[in-house]
Amino acid sequence: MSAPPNGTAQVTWADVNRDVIRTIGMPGNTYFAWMCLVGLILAAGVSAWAWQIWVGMGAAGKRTPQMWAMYITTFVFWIGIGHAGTLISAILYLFRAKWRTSIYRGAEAMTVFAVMTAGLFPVIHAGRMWFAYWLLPYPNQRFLWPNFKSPLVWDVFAISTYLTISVVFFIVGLVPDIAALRDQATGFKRKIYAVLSLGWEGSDSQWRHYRRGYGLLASLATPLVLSVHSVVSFDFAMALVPGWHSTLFAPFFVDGAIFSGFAMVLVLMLPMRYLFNWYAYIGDKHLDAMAKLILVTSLVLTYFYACEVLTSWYSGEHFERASLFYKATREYAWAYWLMYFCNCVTPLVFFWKKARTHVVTLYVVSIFVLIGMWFERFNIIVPGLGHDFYPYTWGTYYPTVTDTTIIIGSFAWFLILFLGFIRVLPSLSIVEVKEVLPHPLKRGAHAGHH
Amino acid sequence: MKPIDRRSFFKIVAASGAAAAAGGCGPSPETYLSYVSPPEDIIPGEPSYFSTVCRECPAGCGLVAKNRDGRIIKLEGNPDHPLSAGTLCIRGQAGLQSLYHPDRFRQASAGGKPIGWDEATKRLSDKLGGLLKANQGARIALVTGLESGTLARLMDEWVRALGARPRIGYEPLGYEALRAANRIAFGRDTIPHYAIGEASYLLSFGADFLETWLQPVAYAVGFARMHAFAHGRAGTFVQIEPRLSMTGANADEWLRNAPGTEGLVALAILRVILDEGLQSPDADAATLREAVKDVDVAAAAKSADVPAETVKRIAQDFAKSKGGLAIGGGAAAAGSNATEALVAVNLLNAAVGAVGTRLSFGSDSALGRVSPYSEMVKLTEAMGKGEIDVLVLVDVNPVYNMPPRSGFADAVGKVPMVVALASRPSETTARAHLVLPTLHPLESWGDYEAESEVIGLMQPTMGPVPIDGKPVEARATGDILLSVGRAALGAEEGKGPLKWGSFQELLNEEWQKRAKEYAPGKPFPEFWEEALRRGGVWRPASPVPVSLRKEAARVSREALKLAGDGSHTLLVYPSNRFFDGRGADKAWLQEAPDTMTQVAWDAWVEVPTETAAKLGLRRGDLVKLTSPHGSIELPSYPYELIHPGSVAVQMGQGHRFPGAYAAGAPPVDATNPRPATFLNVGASPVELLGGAADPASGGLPYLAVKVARARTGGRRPLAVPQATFDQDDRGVAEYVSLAAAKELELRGRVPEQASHPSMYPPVRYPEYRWGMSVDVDLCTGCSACVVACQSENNVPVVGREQVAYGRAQQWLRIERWQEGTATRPLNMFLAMFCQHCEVAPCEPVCPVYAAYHTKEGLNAQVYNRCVGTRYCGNNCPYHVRRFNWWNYQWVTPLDVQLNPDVTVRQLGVMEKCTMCVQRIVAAKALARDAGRQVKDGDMQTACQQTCPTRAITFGNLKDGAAQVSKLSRSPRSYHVLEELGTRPAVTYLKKVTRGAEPAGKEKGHKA
Repeated sequence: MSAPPNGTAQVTWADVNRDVIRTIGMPGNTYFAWMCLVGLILAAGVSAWAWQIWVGMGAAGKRTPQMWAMYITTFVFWIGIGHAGTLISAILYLFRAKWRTSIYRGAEAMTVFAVMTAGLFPVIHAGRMWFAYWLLPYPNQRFLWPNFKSPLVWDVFAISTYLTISVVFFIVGLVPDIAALRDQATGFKRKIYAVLSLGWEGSDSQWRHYRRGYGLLASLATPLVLSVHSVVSFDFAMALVPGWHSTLFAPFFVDGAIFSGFAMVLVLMLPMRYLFNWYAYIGDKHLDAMAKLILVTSLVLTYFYACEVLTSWYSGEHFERASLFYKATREYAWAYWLMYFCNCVTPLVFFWKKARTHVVTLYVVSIFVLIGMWFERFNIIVPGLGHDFYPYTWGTYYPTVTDTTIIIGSFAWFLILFLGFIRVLPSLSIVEVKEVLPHPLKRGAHAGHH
Repeated sequence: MKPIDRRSFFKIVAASGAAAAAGGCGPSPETYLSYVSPPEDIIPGEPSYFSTVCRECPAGCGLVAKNRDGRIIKLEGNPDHPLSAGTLCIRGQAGLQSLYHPDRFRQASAGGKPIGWDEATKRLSDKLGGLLKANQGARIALVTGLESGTLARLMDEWVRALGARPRIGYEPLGYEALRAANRIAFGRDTIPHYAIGEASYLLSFGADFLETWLQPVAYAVGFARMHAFAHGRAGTFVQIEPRLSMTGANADEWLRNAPGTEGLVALAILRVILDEGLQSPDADAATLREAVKDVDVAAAAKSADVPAETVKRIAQDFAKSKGGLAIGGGAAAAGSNATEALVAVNLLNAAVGAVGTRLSFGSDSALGRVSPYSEMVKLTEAMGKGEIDVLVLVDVNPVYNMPPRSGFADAVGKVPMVVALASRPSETTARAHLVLPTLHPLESWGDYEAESEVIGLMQPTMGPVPIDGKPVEARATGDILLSVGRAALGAEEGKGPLKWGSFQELLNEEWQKRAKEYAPGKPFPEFWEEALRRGGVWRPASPVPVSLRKEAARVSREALKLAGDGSHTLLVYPSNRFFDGRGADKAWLQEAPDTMTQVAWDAWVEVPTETAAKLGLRRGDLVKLTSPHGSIELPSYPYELIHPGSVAVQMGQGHRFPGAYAAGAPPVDATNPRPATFLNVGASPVELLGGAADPASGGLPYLAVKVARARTGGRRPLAVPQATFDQDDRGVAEYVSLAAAKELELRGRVPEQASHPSMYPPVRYPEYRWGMSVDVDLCTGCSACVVACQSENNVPVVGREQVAYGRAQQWLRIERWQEGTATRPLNMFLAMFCQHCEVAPCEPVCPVYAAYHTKEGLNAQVYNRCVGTRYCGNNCPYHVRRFNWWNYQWVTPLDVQLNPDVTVRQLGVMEKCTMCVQRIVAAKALARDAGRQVKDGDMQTACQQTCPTRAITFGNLKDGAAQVSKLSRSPRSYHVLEELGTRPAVTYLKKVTRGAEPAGKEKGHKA
């Protein structure tokens, strides 16, 4: 990639409209080829799931003592990914971090889709997935309620709340932009966008209400950023398993989630910037800001890792020590050390300013971070369960074709949603980008919808 | 395209609807029909119980079969039986799988093709009749298993009537050397009664009396009485054998001798006793002295590879105990000098005054009537020479059990007509020209004299097993012999030597005689009914006094003769699960891991760790063993509890005959893995042995060859569910020394090490709190409970791959935990199942209350409610929860055995031990009818019921007087992983170690 023009200084409002809206519409052959490829992978994943439902969970390589394995790993991974979006839109919005404007729409879409992907896994994981709805507190004639003591029920609430708020936030943020699309579109499309824009006219009163509502939603979403992953971490922290039963887990998980979420944002935004030629909107300062966040969260994560090891060792707890030692030295030791390398070592390059804006470095480090974060959860679950209290059952899980295919399929599911999104909805916020444009240029604008 | 009209539209809709409906309702609709005229004695849903005799091995333990709606669903020990005292071993528990074996012969067959009964019996009787006419009855041979009752009489009458060769009662484990030794020492060619329960010091020279030796169940009952720590006392048990067997693992001390030196050690012990004048005052000291006059203790100990001081100490303790009993024998010690060794053991008994007290002739074991192996060798010769025209084999499998070198299998090919009477296939039936299916012992009349004057009565406990809706076309062995014999003789019913119309008639005649003898004056119908109810008749046999013969002093000290020049002595030992191999076609037995090695589903060779290290052998590396007589290939199992100069292979695997479980059998359903090909796994060690009989005893020397071992480079990983035998100081299996146990008895229980404060109020149990206790000191590791639980609770068999991958489904497992060193090991057997914790980690994590705590303290699992998140399975620190990873199968007709009181679990749900909740419910219903609460002893769990040593106790913990409450308060009691604060309802009692302390820490607890 050649060095593109950076910053938003020379962009006009009209440019914004044009640059965003041209990403929408009839895509080319390359796009369809990608869709086909991703669709095929998704179909393979769905078939693998159907097979698993038909023959049983035995197809998924789980065993005693690893009754959980890659599904929960990937579930936590996607939930983590789903964090960056809300963090950028809500928390950074409240803190008025202006650099967020050009990335938040993509990040929000990523959040929604990541949570939608994550939400599949508890169902895929259940031995009788056809009864998974029993986890919901729905009225029934038997007066049976879920067990509110169970962290899995907390998960249900946490994730469904998070999904609801993320979707609402996403849609609300889209309203003025869809109105812009509506104004440009013709025929059938115009009608659809007209409905989706909820009658947005851009009047002053609408803007006043919109701002207030958006702010309120942002304040609602903010605690969720912290709570969802805390609750997900309780799945582990509330259990008895050595290495799981720890008060460290909530902040540890939240930090890891933000860390991996930002990596995913970079992984998605860098190609988009290239393909859509959005160098004017996503510039060095954006990349720099995100790289800094990755660096900070990485350092915090390293601190948590150190805490984990220290408490295991210093507590003198036989079980904890043995479990940690097992993780670091036995079958999945490579995964354990890979995790340290990816999560603690590679992000350190961001101490150099150049690396923070160097696209290839950013991309490679982000991929490493994603791998590392997936393996972090893997290490907690698979080797973590492999050497717990009871020596008789110690053992190792091995992946199977079925569960690996389902997991790869989940990435295809996420990508297919994201690929669809970038072609039907503005993946850059027209409104918010305009807001941060330098004032004088507004005069030259002739966008009629404001 | 033609537009669809209304009529065709409806046709399509109807057709697709029907297809959808048919696709949704499983394989085939079942028919439910009520009785038109119900049988009077069967109440639907109410079980009836029938007493009979277990015939899974020659021990002949009493059995009670539970019949539900016309089919047997459970076997339990007969509590009235004098030998087995209501308990049963693992093989007895699995007897149901021979009854419902998928391979059971459906009908008679000739050359593998089904033929009608009349045709089949006609072929046999014509042949026999022809020989009879030609006055060539001697060309007929009858080989049967050990029979000791009326059937034995009938068989002998049959042989006599036809003028056939004398019947051979063949048992692969025939104890010929034991009989020969008794002949030499006491002048009696029998196997006496060993009152192990009366001994205070038991010295065993290789006898695996807790596994297969003679009467293992009765001995386990006695062993518990003799050895258990009770009221501050406990007997001592020392095992002398080259490879630590499960029996040996229960010993307080294991003396690892060089193979074949048992006699030497016995004589050395005797020498010490005599030198120190410790013999019993009425012992024949002169004869004894004569026997050991040139025995040098130090030299003997050296050549036996045991420390001389230990021999001395054992000799002193043994003699001073005043309750010493020495036993010996077993296949692992059956070498060329076995008879001498057992004479030496007899001398020891004579020296400590055990003869006539703890070892008594008169109550002789049925096993004394086994025809020696040499008879089979003679028969083989005759067959080879073409002297036999008809060979009738009844329930025996010599083709498998006799070494190939004996030539039996080849000789069978030279017999013009081989007839097998059996209920299921074997290598022998596969070579028979004619197969006549027999009824299973549980379907037939009969009797069996397990020991003199202990006569078990067998009755049909159910009709012939239905397979695919059709009962098997089988007949009782006695009936077949009668009808065929009469037809051959050309006699009519009621006439001639085989006059009885049916075997039942003959049985009746015999028992009328018995009635006069056992209950003079009592009307026969009354006696008969009582005998049927009780399961037989028994009374103490009058003892036969014996004295030591002078000949015994001439015991030689011949060294063991071994064929071949290999590097290692081959130890062949019988299997606790498969016996001599007859149990290997039962999936329950295959899936229950071998106690010592924890290997399921396979055969293996135990290689000393030193050798394994030298050869770089890991567990599962294939090793080829070669003796002068043959070679076999087996996965290696490095084992430290074996004499370094030997390797050991268990008997029983390596079958080669077709069947539902044989290689190549089609799976029932592609989506449902099942143990399809276990039968042909492994190899039989018998293939390495020579075929000649031992001249001294006439038995087959199992300890006879040296083998060369070579690594083949191949690998076949073994299915071993236990990850490690080292409990890593986690407080899983705990022990105390005898002295400490005695002190504890005085001081009382040490309070739990930590209190576990809780923000929840204490759990209240309004009526009952069910609990169990398991005495680790009593558990011998026999694993009968594993199969008992499996049959009671419809636990599926999952197969080798699944067991290897940690998906065994048994609710109860026997774990072996080892402490100490290789030569001074301490092995503890721990029965682990759901602990029914009061603060159960599995309960709060279940999102749907499928795991919940009942008001009776049970940790219940509601299968219907379970979604299968498996959170409970992770959170259970004991990992006793079992998940239904697949849809498990019961191959027809094994499904007939399923207990209707227990749900068969669906794919995707969690399951585990329920403390036999169905039995609790039944006991509560009975108690309610009687207007009272459930009393202690009203019900037993399946595992508790079968346990020969009574290591498991179940009851109501709220009842302070209940046995389980008392045991739970025992000073020896502890909870597994106590520090986790789960407060289990299952309390374990620490093992008590005697003698020298094993190396290591006192309590096995660090965490």
